[in-house]
Amino acid sequence: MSAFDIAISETIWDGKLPLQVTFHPTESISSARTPDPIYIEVARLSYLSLLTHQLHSIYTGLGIQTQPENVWYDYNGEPLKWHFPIGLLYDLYNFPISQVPTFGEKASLPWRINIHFDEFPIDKILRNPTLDTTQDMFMSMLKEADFLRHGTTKRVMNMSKRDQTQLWQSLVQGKYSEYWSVNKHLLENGQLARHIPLRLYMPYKCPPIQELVPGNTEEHPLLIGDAMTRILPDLFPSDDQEECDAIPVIHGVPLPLDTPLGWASDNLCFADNFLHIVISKKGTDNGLDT
Amino acid sequence: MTFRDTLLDQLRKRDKRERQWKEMINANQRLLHHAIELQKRNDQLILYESNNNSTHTQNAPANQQQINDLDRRIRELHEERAEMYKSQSENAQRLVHMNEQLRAKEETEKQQAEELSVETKVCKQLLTSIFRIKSFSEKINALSKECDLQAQQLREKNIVIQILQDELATLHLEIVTTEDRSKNLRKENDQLLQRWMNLKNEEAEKMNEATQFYEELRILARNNGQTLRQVNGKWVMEPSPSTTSSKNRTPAEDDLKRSSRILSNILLPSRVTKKFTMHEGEIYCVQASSTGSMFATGRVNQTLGGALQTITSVDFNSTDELVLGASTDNATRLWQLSTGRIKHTLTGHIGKVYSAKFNADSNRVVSGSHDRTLKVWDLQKGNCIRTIFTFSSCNDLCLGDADGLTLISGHMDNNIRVWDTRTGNGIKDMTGLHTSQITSVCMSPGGSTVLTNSRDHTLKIIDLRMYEVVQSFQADTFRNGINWSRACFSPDGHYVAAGSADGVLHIWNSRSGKLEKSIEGHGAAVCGLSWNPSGSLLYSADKSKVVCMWDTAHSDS
Repeated sequence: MSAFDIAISETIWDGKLPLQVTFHPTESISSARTPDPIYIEVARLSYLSLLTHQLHSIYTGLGIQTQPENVWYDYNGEPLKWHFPIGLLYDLYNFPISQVPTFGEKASLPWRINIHFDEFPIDKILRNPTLDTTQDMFMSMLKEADFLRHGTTKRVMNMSKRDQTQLWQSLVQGKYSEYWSVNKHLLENGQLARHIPLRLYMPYKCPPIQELVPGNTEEHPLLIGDAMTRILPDLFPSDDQEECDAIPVIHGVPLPLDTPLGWASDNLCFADNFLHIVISKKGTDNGLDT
Repeated sequence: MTFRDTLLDQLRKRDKRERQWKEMINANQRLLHHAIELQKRNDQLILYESNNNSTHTQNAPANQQQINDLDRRIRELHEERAEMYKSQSENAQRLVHMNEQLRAKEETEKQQAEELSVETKVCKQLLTSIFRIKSFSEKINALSKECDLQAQQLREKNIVIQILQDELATLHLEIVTTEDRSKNLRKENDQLLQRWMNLKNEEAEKMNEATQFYEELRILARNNGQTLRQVNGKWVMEPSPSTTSSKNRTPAEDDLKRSSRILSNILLPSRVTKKFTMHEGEIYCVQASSTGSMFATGRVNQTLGGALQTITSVDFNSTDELVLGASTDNATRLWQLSTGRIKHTLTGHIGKVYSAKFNADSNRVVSGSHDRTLKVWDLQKGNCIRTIFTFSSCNDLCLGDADGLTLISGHMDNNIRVWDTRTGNGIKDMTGLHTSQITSVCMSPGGSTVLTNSRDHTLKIIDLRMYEVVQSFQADTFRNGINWSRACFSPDGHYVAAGSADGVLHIWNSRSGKLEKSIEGHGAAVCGLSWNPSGSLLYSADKSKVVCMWDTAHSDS
């Protein structure tokens, strides 16, 4: 049940999103001289800081000096949190719950975001989105996942420096085999996971919900539906699973409620070994056919 | 469918949806990169061109001239280069030539070196041989020197041997001569013995002569009623048997007679009655015997049957049987007159005994010595009973009373001391009486005064009870010349006689102190004086061995 599903895992890793990055005019560069929007494909598991890193060379080539600390992105005026994976960010804005008023249309592809080089909104998003900071953020998420899984952060802490760098670099460069050669050590279950590292995201400024979800026991494997019911009993009434309105979405696809938690945790997790699930409403026009 | 299949299907659909723009985006990216590249290159070219343009438009005319100059320079350099090539080829040729010469020279040098090495070898051999020769010659020199040295040493040794042989010869000679000498000496010795024997014989003859002489005297004396007798070398005058014919008289009666005779008048003689030249040696003292019949002299070198040195004082005992002689050999000897043998030798003094006296009983002898002591001797035991320490050497002593309980001694320190013989303590020290050493003390016949003679050329009579000088005698002609010069009272106490250093006898009146008579008779200093107890004769002795007898009973005719 907890075996690796290579096909699923690879597919998840290879998921990419097309982006259109529009240069927002700054003080020094007026709107007349702004460069054209740049089209780029970026991995779902990647982060915005890494995007900045990729765009840096292009923009310097175009004669625009960038400082990674001052670069931030927004979608429809909303500053994007750079410490979320890009796939998660897209799902957040693409699958909103209809009750809540949204800004404009649903996110279409390519995802049009704006890049800013000044006026960093300190109050809205975290400061200093450099590569190093992003790496630290990633590592801390990894440790948290490890702790939830095994009760100690021993595996992450005992990782050699080479392994750490390899892990990060493979994420940066998108090398699947290298990443998984290290990550499988972290996911190996000497004993079954105590808790499943899980986060639920409600769109529009709801803070992510993280609750302790116990791991699988031998007799009674937990399903996603059970976890949902436990955490959000209003949205996922336990008695009638067919009838509930909300759908858990991960990696841009709805998550069947009968998926075992352990299997999902091993195969469907993001780069930081967490399951970042967005709750969406059923029946919205989001291209999902359920 | 299982959840897995559902998921997979959903994911595939998603991918199809989201990846449709892939190629377009890639193409876009490529174009973008290309554009960036072109832009960069454009910028570079513009920069380059602008640089070029700026330099070119400014220096156009000057450039042409520069080019001309450069062309000229180039031509010149070409020419120089051609010349250089030429010189280089010449140098190369010269180099080759030089190399050949060098090779030839090296060959010749090698040959020469070879020859030189051969020569050096020869030289070395020669040198080594020369060295060897030199060393040999040196050795020869050294050896010859040694040889000479040895020869010299040999010669020296020969000389030494010669010398030794000579010495040996001389020593032999010496031995011979010494043997001869010793023989001679033995002969001489024998001769000397002979001579000595002869001398002794002569002596004997002389003695014989003397006896003869005295035979004559005896004849004379017989006329005077006295006899002369020789007792062991001592000349003694004795009353002739005719006057003492009656032997039955008791000694007491004799004494009385004697004492009565003492009271005969003393007449002072004016010339010598008799004179004898007596002894071989010097005379030290003279003493008349108690009986008046004999006088004894003590003399130098007289072996009076035992005394080894000079006799300084002579005393007769009261019975005339014993004679006491005090000697410079620290001993006092008693001779028995009848046998002529020593009865006692009283030793104990550690200095010369200058005076010795019998006491009245003849059982004690008192002696005074230069060891500053007086010793009382017991004649029966023959040892010293008492030693009295006097502070000065005693020159003369006399008995203070008949028993000898008190002694009077005259000393070298100019003092007269009176001693108690029983206790040994001094009774009186009389100092200051004389200014020079006392030479004799003599008791007066009355027993109350003492006559002292001193080297300060004065005689004094001292009263023994008051210890005062009663009378003192001196004369211009009187000089006390001898340390043991004796003076004496006359038996009646009227006169005092002493001998002077010039041989003149001086007699003073003891009461008045006037010099009664000074009689010449001696040739030398008078040393001893003794008045016969009967008062008839006065004996005097001088240092030139002459004894004079003065008749004081009869007046000179």
